[in-house]
Amino acid sequence: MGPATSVQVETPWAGERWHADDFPPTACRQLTIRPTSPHYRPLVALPVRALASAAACVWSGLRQWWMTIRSVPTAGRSAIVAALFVVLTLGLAPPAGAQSRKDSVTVHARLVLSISEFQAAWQRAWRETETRRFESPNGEAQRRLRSILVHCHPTEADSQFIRTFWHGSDEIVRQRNFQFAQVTGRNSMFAACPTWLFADPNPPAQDERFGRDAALLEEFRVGMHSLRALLLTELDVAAENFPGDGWITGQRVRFLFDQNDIAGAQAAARSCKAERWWCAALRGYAHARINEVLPAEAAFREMQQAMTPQQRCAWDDVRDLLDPAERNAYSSLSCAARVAAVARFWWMSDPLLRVAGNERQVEHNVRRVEVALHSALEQDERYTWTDRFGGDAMVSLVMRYGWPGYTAWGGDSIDDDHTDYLETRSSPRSSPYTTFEYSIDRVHTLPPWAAVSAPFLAPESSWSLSPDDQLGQPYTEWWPDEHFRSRRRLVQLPEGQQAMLRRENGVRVAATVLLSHPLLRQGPPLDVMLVSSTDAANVDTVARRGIRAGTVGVMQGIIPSAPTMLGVEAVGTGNRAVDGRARLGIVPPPSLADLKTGEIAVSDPVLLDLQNEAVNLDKPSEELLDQMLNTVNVDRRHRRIGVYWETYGVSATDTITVSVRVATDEQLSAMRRLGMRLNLAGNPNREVVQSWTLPDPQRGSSIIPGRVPIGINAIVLNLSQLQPDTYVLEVSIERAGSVVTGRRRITVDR
Amino acid sequence: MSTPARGWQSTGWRFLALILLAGAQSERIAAQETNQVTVDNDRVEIALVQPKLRIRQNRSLQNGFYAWRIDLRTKDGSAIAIAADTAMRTDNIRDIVRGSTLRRCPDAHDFSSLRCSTRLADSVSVRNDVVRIVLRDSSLVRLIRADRPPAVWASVFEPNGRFRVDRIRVRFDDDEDHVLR
Repeated sequence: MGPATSVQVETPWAGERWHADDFPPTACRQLTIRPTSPHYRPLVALPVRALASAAACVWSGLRQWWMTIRSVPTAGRSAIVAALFVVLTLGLAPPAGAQSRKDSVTVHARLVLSISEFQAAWQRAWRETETRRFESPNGEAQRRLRSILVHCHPTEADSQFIRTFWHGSDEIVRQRNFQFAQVTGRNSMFAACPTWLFADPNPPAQDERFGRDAALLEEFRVGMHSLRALLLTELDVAAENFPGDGWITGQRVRFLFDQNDIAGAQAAARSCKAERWWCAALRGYAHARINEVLPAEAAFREMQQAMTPQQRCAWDDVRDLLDPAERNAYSSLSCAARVAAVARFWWMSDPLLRVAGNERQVEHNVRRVEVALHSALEQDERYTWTDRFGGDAMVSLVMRYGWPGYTAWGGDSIDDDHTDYLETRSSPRSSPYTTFEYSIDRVHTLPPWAAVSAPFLAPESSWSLSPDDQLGQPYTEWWPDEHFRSRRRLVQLPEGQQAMLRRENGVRVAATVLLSHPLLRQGPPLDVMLVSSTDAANVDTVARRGIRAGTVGVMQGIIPSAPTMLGVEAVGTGNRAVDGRARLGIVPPPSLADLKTGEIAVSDPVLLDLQNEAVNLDKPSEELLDQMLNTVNVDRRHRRIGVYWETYGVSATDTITVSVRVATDEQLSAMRRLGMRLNLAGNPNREVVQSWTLPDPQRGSSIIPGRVPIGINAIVLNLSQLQPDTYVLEVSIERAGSVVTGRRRITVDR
Repeated sequence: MSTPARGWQSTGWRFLALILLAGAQSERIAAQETNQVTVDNDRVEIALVQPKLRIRQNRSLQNGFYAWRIDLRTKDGSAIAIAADTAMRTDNIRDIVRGSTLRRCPDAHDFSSLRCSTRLADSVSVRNDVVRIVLRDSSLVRLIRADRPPAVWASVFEPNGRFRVDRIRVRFDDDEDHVLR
């Protein structure tokens, strides 16, 4: 796999900021004396060259004017000369814009130095902090454990996750295994090795997402606060003089947030007078930083509308978030084609469809703004953002995982070692080198890119939020392509069973909800919603009810007969800040309105849980759906199950033959088929078939009358003789030579 | 008839001279590779080796300020800075230093070198890409000798926003391992 790619997002100051490469903006530019000239001898040559340059400049200008004037007719020439006279008489002031632009360049240059000096001061405090953290009794062991992450050598392909068994002296650490990814750059050997926060440093560091100074020891924070206040004063003055400068506004917002001056940062973002898209981006960022998802989303929407198509294409690029194997599929799309695909991608990535606003998409925009703010200078407090120094790896890291909660520094000697490693591979020094550690309560809500082209066929397994153990703790051996920390803990509900039953003007959909996750087993009931969504703008509530923690519930409702995304979303109530969800794409059958007269149909079979003794299959009704088995994996406890199905267009007096068949559908190889012919091998496909004819007074069934009668049927099925395997459960009905079949794939577990 | 070479012209002497020259050169190179702060009785000498930042790896020069800053880690948070008087566009260290002023930042709050307005008359020179500062300001030398910081922070800044921070051990003339030069 190739190295990670990153996206160059155009910022409002890109190409013009304080480079001043276009000064002076006249034809005299090439004559300007620059100290960089190889012939530059300042003391001797300066006056001579200055005079010569000025003379050449004046002569060049006059000659240019004369050529221009000579090319116009006599009348026009007179007018030009007259105008020139007037202008010279009145005195021509230099263009106001040119002056202010020059001032702006100087102000920028001064601000760059001020910001850099502040960042250097912060780095000094942070290095002191990190040095002291590892001076604790187990500090050296901690430092050693982390050294593999600091010495992140991109020897593995980007797609390769590395499983590491730590052999430290700390018992807790030793027992935990970790996986991490390597995020590599295209233009240097610098790489980042992000992983979970695997051991608290001593003294513990606060999560840096909640404030830059959280990375510092308490004793340094006051000093940094004072210094930053001085820097902010400079930025405030600059912002007053250059209110339309997006770079200055951005840095103000950044440092105000770092200063924990939330109100100030928001006011700075609100008063932004730079380019419209950048101001909207800053407003969105400011809202998101205080968890105002909806206003943030609105601001980011405005930002997208104000962008040029090229800007938007770069900003919305999600390549970094995809599995490396899928990036080519994304890259092959044109910018125009990406717009719709990316919109679907974010809709499918929404943590909870029932909650207004897409927290994950907002986070993506926040990360983009964060990268833009930090890369506005080549370096921030710790990291270098230019590609040659591995900045593209940093961009990729932040876009995939956000800002790390904690970064451990290895110390000067490890910096020197790693610099040697880089420099011997022609990559420049990019110290200080750190770990990139993230809190473990993060989730991966993004679907695979392949699912984006067919969202309504996406199975539940398309999403793997975060695998948890029996205590509800996420596995540290899992490391996804991207993750984020939602405001509330989000857990994955187990894959349940869904039923789709045809009705006159839609489809009755039923889905089981099993609140078995360790964090959902106890406490107050959860507010559970069955939602159906066809895109981000269309989310319907199909059903809603409270379900007791640790129990199974069935949600039912009517949806239109059209492909949709079905989600079961449980929100914790009371003090429980934990939500759960399961999601899949479905393609419902047509409604009964589409069934022609005389035509018959059958639903897919539905498994019922017979452990509840109150279940009565003698007089089947729709209420049996409340007893749906919460899974299609039949374990030892559920070998005796109920099977429910519906017939459509079959009246009580019609004679039909019903067959229920359970069979494996393993594809037989040619060798196996040959062996079976020669009686040398048996058929591994086993099947159990039951058939009977209706009407039969011994077999309970009921009819819901209507234009198309709905027959409700249920039987008991004993699967205890079946070997553990995957089977297909089929229900077929035959009437007058016409056969229709409904199917469900089930698994018989050990 | 040729006469045998004598004195420095002989092969043996030439070889010895070569060895000595190589030794001196390697010592000079070694000296250049390390930042140093040495505190003597009446002066503080600081040698700053230029890091391989943009100064040495430049592709397109930017207009802006270069600065060196040495945080002395004294109790009052004193620092000294070499900061350019105006924005400049160059990659020549001599030009940068020539266009800069050595200043004293008496307060930790003078975080920006451009704010440090107390100009020092002490000398700054550049030799072999090493910036050498010799501080003879008696109050500053007294302060450093009194506080005896074990190390200082040296930072170098470039117009593009790149900077590097190094921790440099301070050698006092009365240190046990101090080597008289």
